[in-house]
Amino acid sequence: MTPVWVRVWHWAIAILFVILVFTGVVLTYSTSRFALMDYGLADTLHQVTGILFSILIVLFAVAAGVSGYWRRYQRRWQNLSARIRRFGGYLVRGVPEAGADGPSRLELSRGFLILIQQWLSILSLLVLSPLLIVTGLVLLYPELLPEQVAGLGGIWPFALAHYWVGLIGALFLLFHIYIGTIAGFKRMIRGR
Amino acid sequence: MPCTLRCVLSATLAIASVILGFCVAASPAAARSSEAIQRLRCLACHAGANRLTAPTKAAQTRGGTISIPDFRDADHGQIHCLDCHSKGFANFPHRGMKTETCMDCHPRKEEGAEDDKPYDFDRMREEYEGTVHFTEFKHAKEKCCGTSTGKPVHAAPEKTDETGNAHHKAAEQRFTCEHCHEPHYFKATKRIRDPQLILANDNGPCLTCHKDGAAGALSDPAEPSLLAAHRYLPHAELHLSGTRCVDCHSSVASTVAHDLPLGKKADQGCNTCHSLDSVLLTRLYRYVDTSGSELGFHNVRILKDGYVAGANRHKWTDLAAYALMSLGLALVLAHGAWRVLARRPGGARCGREVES
Repeated sequence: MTPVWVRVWHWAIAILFVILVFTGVVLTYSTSRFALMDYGLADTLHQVTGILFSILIVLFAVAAGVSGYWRRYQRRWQNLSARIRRFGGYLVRGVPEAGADGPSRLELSRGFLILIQQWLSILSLLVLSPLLIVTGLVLLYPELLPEQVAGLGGIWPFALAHYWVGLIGALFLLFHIYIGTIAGFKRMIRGR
Repeated sequence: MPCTLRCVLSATLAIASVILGFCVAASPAAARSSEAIQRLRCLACHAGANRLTAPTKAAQTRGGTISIPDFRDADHGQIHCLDCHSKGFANFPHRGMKTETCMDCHPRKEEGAEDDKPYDFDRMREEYEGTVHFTEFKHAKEKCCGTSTGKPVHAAPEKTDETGNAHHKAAEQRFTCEHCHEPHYFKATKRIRDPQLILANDNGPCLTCHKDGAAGALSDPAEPSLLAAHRYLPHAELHLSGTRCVDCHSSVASTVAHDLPLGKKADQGCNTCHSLDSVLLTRLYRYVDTSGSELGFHNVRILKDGYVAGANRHKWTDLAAYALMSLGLALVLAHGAWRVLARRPGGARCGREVES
């Protein structure tokens, strides 16, 4: 059973992240004559949602630590790589011990993708989100950054890093939602 | 230099010019000599660092002297004083003076006409006459001398309107071109070229009146703090120090615009600069080569002065983003299609639930 606070947190962070990706696209890919939304508003939204996102991630870390919810991730992580490899093998070669009555490739891919979902979730919490927060917060204070790096305005390494982490985050979002359509969204709505 | 000494020196130069005039009357260089001598006569009194005088009746400061090295280096440096100060200035004391205005010469019809061609002076005048600079002072007298940038007008006597509100902008003179484009020191940006120097050159006239604590009849009493007025901008300090005022406060439709939309209407849309086809390329950076690429960044010339989100995209990262997102979408679509096809009768086999 997924606790209510985790479900509420999950959907809050999901909405914030969708806004962050959308406004990030506006901030990066607008032309001088066209923007998907008002650029200034996109910038404000990106900053506000970014700060809220950071706060929610920190709150989750604290709550998960205090409530012991983190153990669930610990259990999931155990042998996760091995299970992914095993399912990957099944997907390629089938399940030798099951013979002709074994699960179909589609079923196997479902299992494989659910394991990938677990891996992605843990990765997004432990690696992606902290990197996104750190690179984003740095960009909130450009006056503290070096004036020049490699002869160019000193913000670029941090902006590039933020962009790459955001890009991987957007890919995570794509796969996370798609695998959600396979595994079902019920657990994050009803709790089971 | 005491005034009597200046007068004596000026009179001596005048006598010398008359004598020299007779001597070289037949010479082909006579005209040039005469002009040079005339200029010397002007400089006898008016050469030197900017010196301000404040006649009490005029309620304004007059620029008494001209910094000659700066004048020589400026666009009008080769023009003779009396070309612009056309009436009443040849002799001292000056009487019945008249000074030509910018539009009396520009756009030039003969020499220099090509240089003036890119600037549509009629459009600029039309745009300017719609600005608050013009409308606030249009009933005042047009006067050229002593009101230029670097020589702010003396604080005019405070007047009150019908409602009793103090009206600080009771300027004694109309706001004209030379308030911003100081004719003695003005340099066209195409001669400056370097964006950072253009930035300082072009922001100077605006800041004369609009910087924090600026004094004078033309200062802006409504916005005592420049930073506070721009606080709505993200990283307002960086915007103020790295951008020309006119890059936001004039429309981006033309390279040299003279309209000044009021307040937040000044914003031309952040994406006009924060984009790959940033208007900065055709305005502040139009005289430098912006085609280069360094470390894979677009618009690297802008990036050398500071990172501009949207304008300084990284081409390899862009390619990677397109490729990865396309691959991700293709995988999702392919798997989705497989799911749909496999659900058709006979398309899927039952099997045990997989571990989840």
